[in-house]
Amino acid sequence: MKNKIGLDRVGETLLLMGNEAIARGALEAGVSFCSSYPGNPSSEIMETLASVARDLNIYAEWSVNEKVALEAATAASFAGLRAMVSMKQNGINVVSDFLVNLSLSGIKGGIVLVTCDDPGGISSTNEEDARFIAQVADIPLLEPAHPQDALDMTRWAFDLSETIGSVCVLRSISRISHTRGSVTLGSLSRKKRTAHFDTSISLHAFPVTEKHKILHQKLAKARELFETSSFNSYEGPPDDIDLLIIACGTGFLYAREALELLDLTGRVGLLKIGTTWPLPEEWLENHLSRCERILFVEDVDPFLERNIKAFFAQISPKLGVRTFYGKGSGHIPPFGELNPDILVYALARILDIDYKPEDRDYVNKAEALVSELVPPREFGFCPGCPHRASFWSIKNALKWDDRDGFVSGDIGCYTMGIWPTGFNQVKSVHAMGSGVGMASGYGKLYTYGFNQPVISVVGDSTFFHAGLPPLINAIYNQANFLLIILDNGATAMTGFQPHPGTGVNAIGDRVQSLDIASICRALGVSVEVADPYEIKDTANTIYRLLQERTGVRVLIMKRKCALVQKREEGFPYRVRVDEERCVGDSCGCNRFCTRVFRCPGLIWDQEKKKTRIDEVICVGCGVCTEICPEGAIVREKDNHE
Amino acid sequence: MKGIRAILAEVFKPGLCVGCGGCVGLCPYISFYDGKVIYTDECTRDEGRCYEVCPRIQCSIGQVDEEPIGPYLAILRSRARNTEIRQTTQYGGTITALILLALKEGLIKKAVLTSDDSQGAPSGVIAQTEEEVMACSGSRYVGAGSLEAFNRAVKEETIPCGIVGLPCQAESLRSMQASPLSHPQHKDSVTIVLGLFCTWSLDYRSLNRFLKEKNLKTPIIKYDIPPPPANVFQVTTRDKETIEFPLDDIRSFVMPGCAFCRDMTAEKADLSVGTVEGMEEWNTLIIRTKIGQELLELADKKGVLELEQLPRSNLEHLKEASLAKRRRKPH
Ligand SMILES: Cc1cc2nc3c(=O)[nH]c(=O)nc-3n(C[C@H](O)[C@H](O)[C@H](O)COP(=O)(O)OP(=O)(O)OC[C@H]3O[C@@H](n4cnc5c(N)ncnc54)[C@H](O)[C@@H]3O)c2cc1C
Ligand code: SF4
Ligand code: SF4
Repeated sequence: MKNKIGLDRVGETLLLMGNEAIARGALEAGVSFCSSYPGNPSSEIMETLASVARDLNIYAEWSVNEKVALEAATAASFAGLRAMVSMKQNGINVVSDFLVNLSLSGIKGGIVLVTCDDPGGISSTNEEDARFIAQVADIPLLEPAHPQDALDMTRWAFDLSETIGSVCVLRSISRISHTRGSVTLGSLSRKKRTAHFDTSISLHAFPVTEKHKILHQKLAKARELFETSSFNSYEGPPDDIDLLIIACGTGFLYAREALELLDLTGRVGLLKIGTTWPLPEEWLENHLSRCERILFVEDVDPFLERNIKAFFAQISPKLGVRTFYGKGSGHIPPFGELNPDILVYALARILDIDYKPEDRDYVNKAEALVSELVPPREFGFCPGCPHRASFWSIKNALKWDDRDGFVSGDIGCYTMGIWPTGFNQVKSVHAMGSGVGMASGYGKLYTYGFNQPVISVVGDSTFFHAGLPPLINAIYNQANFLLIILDNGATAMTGFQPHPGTGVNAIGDRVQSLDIASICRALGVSVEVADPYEIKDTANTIYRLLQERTGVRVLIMKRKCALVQKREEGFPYRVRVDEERCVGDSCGCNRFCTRVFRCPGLIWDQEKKKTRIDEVICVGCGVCTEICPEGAIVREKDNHE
Repeated sequence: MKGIRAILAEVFKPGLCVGCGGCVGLCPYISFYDGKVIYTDECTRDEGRCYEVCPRIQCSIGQVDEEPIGPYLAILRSRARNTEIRQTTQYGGTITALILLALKEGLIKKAVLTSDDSQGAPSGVIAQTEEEVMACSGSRYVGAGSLEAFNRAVKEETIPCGIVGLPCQAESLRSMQASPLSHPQHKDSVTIVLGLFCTWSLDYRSLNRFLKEKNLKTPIIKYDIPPPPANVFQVTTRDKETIEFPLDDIRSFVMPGCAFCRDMTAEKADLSVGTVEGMEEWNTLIIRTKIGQELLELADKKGVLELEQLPRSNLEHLKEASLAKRRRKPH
């Protein structure tokens, strides 16, 4: 067994990441079919499951996108198996169209849909709160507060899903998915299921109103089960409290920490709620009667807050007036990540406590000390990254072209093209494949005087995920733009998961690899292939393609991700700077390599006023040797290889 | 002393660059691509050679009361004695003959000329053989960035160069020689400057687009504007086909920066060469400096050029045309 997660050791306590705990929960529930599209902070769930898939005889796949992942998993459910689908918050938008119909048709085997949200947008283009989907699709929602919760809830979510016949959503967030905690294992399911689709029934949304009615009955059933759920609990004085905190997710632990810090455990009650939709109304009503002041603590949107307030509107004739604090009152921000500090300040304000944080002087000193030790860092491509070279050529071609052209960006490492590391070439970034869709629109504006050339850049994985429909749209509607596919042979951004073009599947089997160039050619467009490292030729090619105004043109920039290249065959060169030739910051160069090209492998030596190579991180791609105007950066064949 | 920011504000942004190429190749920030000078990346230096060599900034010629054709020692008409040379040259082939002579006699090691790149765009050329020089004969009536080739030729060391260029290019070379920022090999390599007369020159990309729209496929090897009242623009293709367009059709392609130029006869050159109106087989030749004079004497001695008195009416007409350029108001 490659991964201890798959071991059947009941009662053993392991230090697990939240995502591993979710995977374990699924295994304990007897999951048979797992599918996912990679995306931080969710990726490790699938990676964990894939690592034990062979041994435990379950099916695991990286799907082409989240919607397809859920569709495939639904097939397993319809055939009576348990299935789990995991994704980041953005994926929920992708699955939503299918999901709102699936909830009407209902399911057979339990389906757990895991969304890992990313408050603070640590590795995302947004910090969307994906919990809305539970209300849109009328399905139950669970929110773990720590890794043990994550395991237990996932396991139970399958039972719930199967009992009521609806998909069940589990919402994690970065701080739970990526936090390690002690987790006690349960037993692995021994139940063997065989897959069979019962043709005596058919599963669909019709008649719509009738099915919708049934769906609400399912929700009511879930509510009933939630009333007694052990995932909901109260801690604090039994009565006479000054404030009741209602918390879910990490908010629960932060609240506990804040209460201890302010020594408020004797005055304030803490209600942890893990079953956040539908609300366990009776249970809540009991607790709401404890106190007249209530503070809501949850990450991002006031989801719980609004729903409980709405519920309270119904019962207020019974309970009387309440004062609610939270995002609505401005005590907790409805954006960014939650932390104990935010709660401490909120509590101090509400309870009128004179709270002084640490000694300001000490903090200033500590900050000064640390800032000396921490090198300034900006978002940047790795040393030797083919994307840096690609954007270099794109930048040059667009400059040479001189018609104010720009790049319509997409989702992946190359999103960083919006920053100096990509020479600020990317002018817009939204969702997977959207850069292509937008280019398809720009490409039709020529009749309105639009004469700026447009380049759409999309990665290989994103191309498969959502790049094809907009490309087809553009070809069909005769839009005019240059599509550059940055093919680095991996879903690099999220940790090198394989995709349809890589020839490997989730569990490591060799499979047919889909050739992007052939796909595009089959769509009837001209396709060229260039090597990002050949910056001169490639820039010329891009320039030439920009001059052609004949519909969509495709250029595939093919070069393995530098990290993969380093691991697999290494780089051919040893690169050094000839100090005699380096003219540094004088007229004729002005630190072109370190100031403009900016590979982190190049260092500006302040004292010598010369550039040198950081031998520790330079991978030896040799691209910078092409950009030095003085030929001062030289490559030598690396004899160590 | 100023740098790229001033050039950006005063020359690039208002679209006044005429593509002489003087600043191209001195640094990685400015390049000449597909017939156009392009500033690709941001330089932050406060002073630079780009500013020093830009003829749109360092403009010393143009007082109306000065001699309209600048200082000179003598004015003649000339042409290459070798009629084979004259087959491909613009007019009398004086330029080509003089460059070939200077190379042959070892006065220069490299000639900086203008031709077309593989894509048909104009570009500077470093020529050393007869074949290479001949390939550059004929005028391309576009800004060709050819001084880039000079900067390239002397990047590593001093090499005696003969440079053929438009008035703005002669001006740029002299500014470069005078600038304290210039590197010695740049200053010392300028050996002979042969200037071409110029009324204006065209923006290559606009002209190229126009010609493409007119379905001209083969590359153009020669451009000409026959004297008035013809009012036409002629292009000769590689297939030796000559096509005429109304001069008014291409007037809008004249580079806006040319409107600021007061120099028709390349006053900063050692020798300046132009047409002789009504005599296609001849060149007007202005000898301006001792260097120019010596080269001409050698050409005479070696029998390379036919030299004659320039008819009075032609001289007067030249001065009139030159004065008209002096008085030109930028639109
Ligand atoms: C843009 C332009 C405008 C001109 N305007 C006039 C004018 O108004 N009146 C006039 O009398 N003469 C003008 N001339 C000069 C004329 O066309 C001839 O170049 C000149 O008379 C020399 O003739 P030739 O027979 O000796 O040329 P050749 O022996 O054929 O030699 C021509 C030389 O010109 C160089 N050359 C070609 N194109 C360019 C260019 N774009 N930039 C720099 N060098 C170039 C080549 O390197 C070649 O060596 C102009 C030339 C150019 C390039
Ligand atoms: S680009 Fe070359 S000359 Fe300029 S600082 Fe870097 S190594 Fe030195
Ligand atoms: S060779 Fe140059 S560009 Fe490549 S990693 Fe090293 S420093 Fe960076």
